[in-house]
Amino acid sequence: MRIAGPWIRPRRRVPQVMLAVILALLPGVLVSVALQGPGILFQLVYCCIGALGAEAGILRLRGRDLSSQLGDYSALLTGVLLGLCLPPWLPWWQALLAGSLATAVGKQLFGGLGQNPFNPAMVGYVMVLVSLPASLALWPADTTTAWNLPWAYWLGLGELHEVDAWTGATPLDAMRNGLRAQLTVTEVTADLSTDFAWLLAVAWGLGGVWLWRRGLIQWRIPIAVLAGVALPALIAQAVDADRFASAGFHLLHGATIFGAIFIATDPVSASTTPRGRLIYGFGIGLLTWVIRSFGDYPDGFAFAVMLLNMLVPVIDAHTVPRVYGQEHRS
Amino acid sequence: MLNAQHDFRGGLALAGNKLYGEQAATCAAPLPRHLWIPLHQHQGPPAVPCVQPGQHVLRGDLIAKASTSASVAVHASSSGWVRAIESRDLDQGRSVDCILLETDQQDQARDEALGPCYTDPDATAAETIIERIAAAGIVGLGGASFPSATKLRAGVDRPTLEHIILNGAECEPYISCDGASMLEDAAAIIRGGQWLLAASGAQRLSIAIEDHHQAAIDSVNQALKRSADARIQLVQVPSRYPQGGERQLIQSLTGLEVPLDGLPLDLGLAMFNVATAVAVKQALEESQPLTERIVTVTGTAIAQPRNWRVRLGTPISELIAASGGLTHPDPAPRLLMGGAMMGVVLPDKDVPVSKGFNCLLVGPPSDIQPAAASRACIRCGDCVEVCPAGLLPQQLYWHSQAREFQAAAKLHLDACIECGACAVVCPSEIPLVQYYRYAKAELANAAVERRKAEHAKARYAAREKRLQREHAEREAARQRKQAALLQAEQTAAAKPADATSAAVAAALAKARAQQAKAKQALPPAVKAAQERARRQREHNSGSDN
Ligand code: SF4
Ligand code: SF4
Repeated sequence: MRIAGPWIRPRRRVPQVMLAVILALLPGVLVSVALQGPGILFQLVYCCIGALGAEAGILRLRGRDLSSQLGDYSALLTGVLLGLCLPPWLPWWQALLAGSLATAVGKQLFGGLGQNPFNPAMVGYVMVLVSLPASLALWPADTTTAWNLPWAYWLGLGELHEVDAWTGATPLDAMRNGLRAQLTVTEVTADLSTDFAWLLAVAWGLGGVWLWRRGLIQWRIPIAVLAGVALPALIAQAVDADRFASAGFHLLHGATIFGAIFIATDPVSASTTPRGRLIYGFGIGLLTWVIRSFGDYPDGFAFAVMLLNMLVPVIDAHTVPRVYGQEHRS
Repeated sequence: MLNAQHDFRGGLALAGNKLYGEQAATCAAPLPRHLWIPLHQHQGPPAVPCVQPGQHVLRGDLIAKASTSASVAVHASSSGWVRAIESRDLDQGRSVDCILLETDQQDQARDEALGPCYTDPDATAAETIIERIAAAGIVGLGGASFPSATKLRAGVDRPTLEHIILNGAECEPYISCDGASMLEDAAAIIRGGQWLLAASGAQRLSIAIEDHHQAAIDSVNQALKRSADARIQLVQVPSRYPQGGERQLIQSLTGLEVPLDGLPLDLGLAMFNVATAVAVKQALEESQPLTERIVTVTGTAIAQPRNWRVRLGTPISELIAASGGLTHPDPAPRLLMGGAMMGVVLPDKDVPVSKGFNCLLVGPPSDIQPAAASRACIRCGDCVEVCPAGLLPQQLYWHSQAREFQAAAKLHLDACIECGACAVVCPSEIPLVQYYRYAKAELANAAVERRKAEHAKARYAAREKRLQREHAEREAARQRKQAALLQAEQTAAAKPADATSAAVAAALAKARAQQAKAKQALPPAVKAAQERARRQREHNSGSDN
């Protein structure tokens, strides 16, 4: 029995927090559907089924109470976040697999909610990315093709034919390939004329502002991530504007805004101290920019998050705040 | 009037929940037939009763004396007969001896119960004022119940005490007794403040009130204008929990932090509750000891929540009845002493009101008690944001839960003021404060054990040393004796001419010869036995190897 106060109910509990985050994703989901077709909705469903199914299965194996843990909606949120990271045309079984790996390997293997050192959605994403790299390029070439795939495919009943004619590179892909082919940044950007990525960034941003205003996320991590991407980009741009994409390009494309608000802020795997969060966020941003600019993967966000996840214990240990009444450190 | 120039870290806005507002005037609670007046209603050792069962006393009569300088006196809260000294449960697991007083319903007060009345703080010696405050049994009425005279004495010992703060910043939602005090007794608060200034030699006094408390601010402000005392100022502080916490309020007012293991006195500050100031005024100007206090009786299960002026020793059942009884059909409503944040559970309705009893909060368990099941910590850090002590509550929790108490201590668990801000924002509904109390208790236990072990070790070391010393002394004595003997022989040999020496030498020689003869004269049986014993010894030592 509880013997010490407080005797007031908290203003929000874990399930409400998770649901609010899912709700905040809504504008982004709508814009995604508009730009990339209905595929994303199917991915969401597959990932959620995978995530919830794996979580339930393992909870049962471990003899845990299903309803309270599934009822905290953390697995659902993992599924949703993962679904939003995957290309809309990914085969259904791969999405299902990614979803189940996310909660099974990314979370339950470490002991369940609160115990996982890595962001579960990123674990699922990276596992698929590493084992099935070709699939991760299945982005529709444009908005028209995005809606033209037969429904049977999304339902898992048909095959995807003539892949090359249908799929297109993401702007980040295009930038990387273009720069490798000795094109200048300006030339590559000119090719990306039908680029509506900024719309999506704005939609994610709206959700983020709403979460922040409601006190469901704190500003430190998202702002630090954005700074971590923008700062090196600005410097590099100043040094060689032809060979390095602009800060604006980095901020508006790929997972930057989405990841800063919805992925990096995953409390379980993030740093917990105020100063630590700034370092953690900045580290993610910086690494993302480094991987994008010099690495082999077009978008390094998932790797950056997981690398910083590993550093959290060190960051936390070195950023313990000064306690009330403690001598100011000089 | 001033606004606080500084702010404390963390904290959170809580809904006011002053159910009974500051509207209706505080009334005297009905005088019950029986009062259970606790002997231990303060920090420090319990008071010692000085009345006999059957004795008739008047209100204000001393019924228990302070046992030490850190203890305080207890007085009869009304007139009547002392019936018994009985033990009662005050709060969880704390059973306290109480003097059972059967009231005669005359409520006669002893005139000048504490001696002559004083009128002018500046014409009264500081020591006289402090003595009077001690004699009146005054403790801090904010809840902590620290003896006020002890606090003042500590201040007098340090010539640096320069600033007194009267705390009118009510910390908790639901509690409004200090608010009532400020509304109705503003003049007495200021008067009490002047007595405290005179007692401490401080030059400045601030009365801190939360800014949402406009009526109290107006009332104190007017009284302040009438008093025209330039040493006293009113300071408005933001309404943010736990603003009324001693350390937080000090930070708001001065921008200074009380050192981690120090006291406000180290900054030249002393803090008293506003109601304490009223009690000080009554003790000096009316010669009346502390026999009543204002108690907020509130909660969703109370029919007519309100503030009562309550005689110490009144059982809470009487207060509930006076407040219209319970609205909730639940047979076992949750009874809390203190507010919704830091309140403690009371065992039953028999608990008597004591000096530190500021608020009775009653609610159905479903209303007051959060859901029992907590979820895993999701490390969201909400608790870090609100902690006014600048701690990492979730790490303290992880360590406490894992029984890594030393690790928690290293993260300054001792700086936790148990305000509960972290627990109230925790989306996993983890009873964090409970873990901290547990860890603190374990650390205290460990410290006691360590001290015991150290004592034992010290005792052992002392004994070893003593044995060694004794051994060394014996050895030295033996050597001295041997040396003396040797010298005697040498002198005897060197100076045969000396008659006495010669005589000694002769005697010695004779003795030796006799000994040798005795050895030879041993009967054969004895010799054989000696030989057997020797062999046996050799055999034994051989088999040992
Ligand atoms: S508020 Fe609760 S869940 Fe969040 S970090 Fe603190 S203890 Fe963990
Ligand atoms: S209870 Fe302790 S740890 Fe929690 S907020 Fe208050 S001071 Fe900080």
